[in-house]
Amino acid sequence: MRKRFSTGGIPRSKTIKIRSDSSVGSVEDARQQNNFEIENLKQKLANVSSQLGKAEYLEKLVVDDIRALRKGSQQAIVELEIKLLWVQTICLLFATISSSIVFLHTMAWSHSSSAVLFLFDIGLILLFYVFNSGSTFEHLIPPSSLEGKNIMKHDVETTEGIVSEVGELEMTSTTWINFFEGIDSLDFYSSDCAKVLSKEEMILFTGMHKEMSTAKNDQIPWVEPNEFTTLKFLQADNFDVKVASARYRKTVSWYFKFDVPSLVLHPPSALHLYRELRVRRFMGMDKFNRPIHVERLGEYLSLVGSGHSKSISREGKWIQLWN
Amino acid sequence: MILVDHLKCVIHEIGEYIKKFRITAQQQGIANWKNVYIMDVQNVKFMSVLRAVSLIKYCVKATEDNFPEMAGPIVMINAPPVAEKCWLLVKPFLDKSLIEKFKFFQGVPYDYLLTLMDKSVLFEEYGGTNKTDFPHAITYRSKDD
Repeated sequence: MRKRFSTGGIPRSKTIKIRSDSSVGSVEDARQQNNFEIENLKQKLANVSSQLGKAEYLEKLVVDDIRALRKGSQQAIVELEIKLLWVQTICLLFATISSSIVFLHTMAWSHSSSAVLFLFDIGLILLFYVFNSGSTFEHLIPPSSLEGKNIMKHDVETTEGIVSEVGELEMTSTTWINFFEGIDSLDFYSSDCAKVLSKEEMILFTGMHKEMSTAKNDQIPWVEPNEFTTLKFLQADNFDVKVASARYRKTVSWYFKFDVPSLVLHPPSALHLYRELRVRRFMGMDKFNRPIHVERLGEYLSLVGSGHSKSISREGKWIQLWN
Repeated sequence: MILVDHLKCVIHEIGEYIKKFRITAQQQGIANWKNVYIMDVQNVKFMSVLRAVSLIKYCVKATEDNFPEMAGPIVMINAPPVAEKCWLLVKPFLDKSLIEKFKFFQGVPYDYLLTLMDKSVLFEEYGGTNKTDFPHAITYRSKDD
């Protein structure tokens, strides 16, 4: 008995026939057609690449324009500030001269118009004081000595007062910036935060989340934001991705500049005094599970302003208190 | 106390808020980062607040930029009529969203506070049944005693 070779159910003679049917000429035709198609594709590719080049060029133009605009706006702001200063000084001069004249010459409150003028002048002086008191204190902040430091490996310790509250939760630099980091019971995409978002907002959210997770190499030190934090920053800037991501970059550098994670673990030396002045208490949770805090802000603010407040900007001292 | 020390204290307290958020998230499985804030503006002096405007601006800027979306409803109670003018002065330095959250009351708005929380949570001073100690600031405390 001869054994038959199995060719997948098809007899061998048929397969040979099929091969013999395909002539040489038809193969050449097919090659020509393929070449034609390849040339077409090449042309299309060339078109697309030229368009891409144009797009890149346009982008560069826009970026240059934006830079120019920024420079212009900064200059304009400086000019405006100078103008405002001039106006303020002129107002102050006018107010002091007129008030002194009125006060010296009339000296009598019975004359109603003079009293009104006097009060108006005092108001002007007050306004001048308020506008000028808005000077920033950035020169008092210590230089960013911590920028190169790697605080990701910060040793976690717990303080005396909050051990019972915190329990097993630990605050590291990532958990400071990232909300609910390390809590396994919370999933962002199944939480109420994600359900509220519309489709457009969700697209913006995913875009920013990707951008922030790939931005590791741009900025050092860097902490990758989780979903909750990205949403928080987006909500704060009304879903403007550029502004929100810029803000997040700033906050990351600010966190490391102030050494924020260690501030919680080791409470600052002035904390006791601060709490004596600024009485703040935790009431409980409200109906929507938000913590409620009450504060005697009126007493605190009137303490801040009383007595020695002039020494804030000059000597770097804030309150000398009542001694 | 230097200004930087003050800011550090503020940050420390914000850190404790964040811990509370984390604890509630772990216990109840709710993602929430909003905080209800009640300001008692009793015994306020207009002139001293004017002097403190720069400090308020500085602290508000630092906290708003770096801890966004923390503020839920902000309720100001026991406000004198002068505080309304004060609010007008501070208003331009704040965000629009923050201005919308702000509520302003003369005296204690008992009914409004009960819409936010239970009676057992509200302090006795404001008409509730919560008996935790809520003292005045040092100087005012000595006057009362």
